[in-house]
This record gives sequence, structure tokens and C-alpha cells, in this order.
Amino acid sequence: MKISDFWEKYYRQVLYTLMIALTVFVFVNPIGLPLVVMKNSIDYYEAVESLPPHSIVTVGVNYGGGAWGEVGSANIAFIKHCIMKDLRMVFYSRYVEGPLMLEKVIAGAGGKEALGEYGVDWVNLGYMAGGEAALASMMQSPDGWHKTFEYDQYRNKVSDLLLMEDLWDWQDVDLATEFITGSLLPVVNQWYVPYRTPIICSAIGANTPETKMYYDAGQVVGYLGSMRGSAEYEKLTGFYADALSSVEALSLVLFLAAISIIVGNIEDRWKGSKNISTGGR
Amino acid sequence: MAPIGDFVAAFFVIGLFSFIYRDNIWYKFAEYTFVGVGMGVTITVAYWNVLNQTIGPIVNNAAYIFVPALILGFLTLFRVSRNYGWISRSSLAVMFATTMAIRVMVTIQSQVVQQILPAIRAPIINTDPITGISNLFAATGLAAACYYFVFTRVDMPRTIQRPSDWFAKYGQYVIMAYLGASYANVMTGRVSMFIERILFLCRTFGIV
Repeated sequence: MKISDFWEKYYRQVLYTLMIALTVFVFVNPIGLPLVVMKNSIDYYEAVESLPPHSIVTVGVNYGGGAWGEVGSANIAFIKHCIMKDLRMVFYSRYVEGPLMLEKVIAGAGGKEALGEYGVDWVNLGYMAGGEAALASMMQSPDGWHKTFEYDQYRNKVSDLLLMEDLWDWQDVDLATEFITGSLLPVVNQWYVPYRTPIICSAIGANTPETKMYYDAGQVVGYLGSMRGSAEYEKLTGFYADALSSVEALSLVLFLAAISIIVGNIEDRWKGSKNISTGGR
Repeated sequence: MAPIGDFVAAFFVIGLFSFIYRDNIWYKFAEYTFVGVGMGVTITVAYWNVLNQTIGPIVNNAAYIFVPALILGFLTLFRVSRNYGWISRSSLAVMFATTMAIRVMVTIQSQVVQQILPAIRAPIINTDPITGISNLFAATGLAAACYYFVFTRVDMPRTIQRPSDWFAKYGQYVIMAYLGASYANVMTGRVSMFIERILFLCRTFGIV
């Protein structure tokens, strides 16, 4: 079989094998590529850093297993950052898998004991259906959070939790943090537009351009874009999870992808293919 | 030593990766299992959500304001019936109307007004050159992208070139650049998923 025929038949397998080989190589032998921290990540970090102790931070865990590589590390580093700053955390989720991911995040941050006393230092309100309507309901005066959540994730009555005595409506939220796979628009709509609640966000790659749009307009204080943003935040906080080591592999694999696109285009031009306008194979 | 759960997860991850070679029974098994487990989680969470957030307040606190919501929610289940599916439309109508009412006014604020104002106010001259050029590009790009949509006339013969057509063309390129950046970000996300799973496999089998 000629090389060109082999490539034509097995290009997918070859590319994936190269990707796996590159990734494993970087994990076994870290290269130490430099990582520049962008302004949006610094703003994200500063938003947490500037809060006084005992401030209330709401943490929206709105992603599933598929987004773990992109925002999971940032979520772990964020919780450790909040613990260091002695902030009080209120977790909730608009995503069905969110509570499951939160258990994984808490385990990564050192377990429930590391977060402090439940009900005093942190609360897990669990999943809430209703999307944007539920978000609007949470912030309403005088007792939106209590009306929206009757029980927490562990079947405790929300009104019995000490922390929740300080969280009733929009005036009590010092910082809203979102870890998202979907759009940030509902949160901007219902929390920033009416109440000017400061929002920071960690988004997956697909939502990063949209999140940047809100950041440029001043609707979001800071944001972390995908795995790279998570790595930058790990570097800023010094709480290392997986992002900083994974982002090296990401750089190499994306470099491979860029080379493949260029080589593929040259090959198609060389052959005078008529299928150029139809896109990739 | 990785816990047994990690080896089970690794079994399914490798099964899903086996599709790289070709479609096979291991891949199908992993795929169907994932769909089944995902459905199970969703139904369980939804069940407890209805119990805790709707039925709980009605029973414990006599919060009868939730009763209409519970009835409307129940009616949506009729969608599975071929003969009585129409009953669910009233619930969906309420959902659509409520969502529209909640979203419309604030979306105009967040997506239109609060986007245009910063673009107008962004400094172009009294700032560093890179920021100035970036802001200039953002402001003109916004105007050109709007112009491309608002003033494009499909009934105009293609041979007629208006003096302002170059501006619409610029808007088209701006939109293409945005789509390209979005696609690159999506691709980065997918590669991130892939890398995270490779790291998981490496850890499970003691490679790193």
C-alpha cells in the first residue's frame, strides 16, 4: 500500500494516535512552556481577592462531566481560594449533573471538612429547575433565596441553616460566581441588569467569546476561558489541580491541529481537488 | 492503586475511544450505558426536585401557590400520549409566555443597550496604541456587522454596487472572524475534554 493510500484510509487513526502520544509524552515529561496570564484572569482573581472575610459568594455549578477538563480545575482552585480568604460559599446548580460535579470538586478541594462547618461556612442548595425564572426568583426582595429553595441538597430545611440567615435577596450577595457550559446570558439578565451584582465566570471554550462580550461591556468583572483560563487561575492562586499540566498538552495538540489544517489545505490544492469548498473530510 | 470505580470508568472511556478505529460492540455498549445512566440521573434529580421544591412546600407550609404550577407540570406528561398530547400545550404556552415576559426587557438591556454604550465610549485616542486599535476595530466592527444585516437588500440586482457596499463587506468579514474564533474555541474545548480523559487513563493505570 502506498503512503498516500494509507493516509487516505487511516488519517483519522494516525491523527488520534499522534494526539494520544503527544499528550502522554507531556504528562510523563513536562516541558514547562511559559504561560502568560491574561487581564481577564487577573480581574477574576482580584474580584475574589478584594472581598473582605465572611463575604457571601454564590457559586453556580452549572456543568457536567464533559466540561470537567475545562472548568473543573478552576472550580477546585476557586474553592481553595475562598477557604483561604475565609469567604462563605453558597452552592447551587441549574444543571442536572451539577450536584454530582460539586461532590467531585469538594473532594478535590480536600473534602467537606476543608470547607468548614456546614450551614455556617458553606451551604449546598442543590439543583433548581426553572432556568432563568428561577434565577430571577432567587434575587427578589425580601426573601428570594428562601422562597426559591425550601430544602438544601442534603434535605435540611434552608431556614434552619445559619448562613442562610444572612442571605435573603440580592443585597446580601457580595459576589456571584458561575461555572458554566451554557450561556451566561440568564445570569447577566437577571442578576446584573436589575441589581448590578458583581459576576465572575468560568466558561468552557464554546462560550468564551460570548463571555468576553459581557466582560468587555463591564457586565462581568472577570472570566476564565476554558482550560487555559483555569491554568492561569491556578498559576495566580498557587492552588494546582490539573489545568496547568494539561494546558501544555493542549498547546501541543492544537499545534498539531494547526499543522494538519495547513498540510491538508496544501495537499488539496496540490491535487486540484474540487471539494475544497465543502470543508474537511 | 486506583479505586475499582476508576477501572470501570476506564473500561467505558477506552470503549468510547475504540470508535477511533471503527464502530464496534464495545463502543455501542459504552454509548448505550452512558445514555441510560444519564437518563437515570436526570429522572432521579427531577423526582427529588419536584418533591422538595413543590410538593414539600404545599404539604408542610400550606403553600398553595405552588398548586397551579404542579398541575401544569403534570399536564406536560401528556406529551407522550398520541391522543391526549394536545393537553400539554397549555403548560407549554404558560412556560413560553413566562419566559418571554421575564427575558424580553432585560435582554434588550444586556444584549443591546449595554453592549452599544461601551463600544461608543471605548477610548481610541487617549490610550495605548494596541488598546486604541482594538477599540477602533470593535466599534467599527459592531457598526459594520449591524449594517450588513440592516441594510442588505435581497431584491437589489447583484450588479449594482452601492458606495457603502464595502462597509457591509467589512461587516461580513467581522462576522466571519467571530465565527472562526468561536469555532476555534469550541475545538479547544473538545481537545481539552480529550486531554482530561487521557490524563484520567494515565492516572488509573499508574503511568503518571
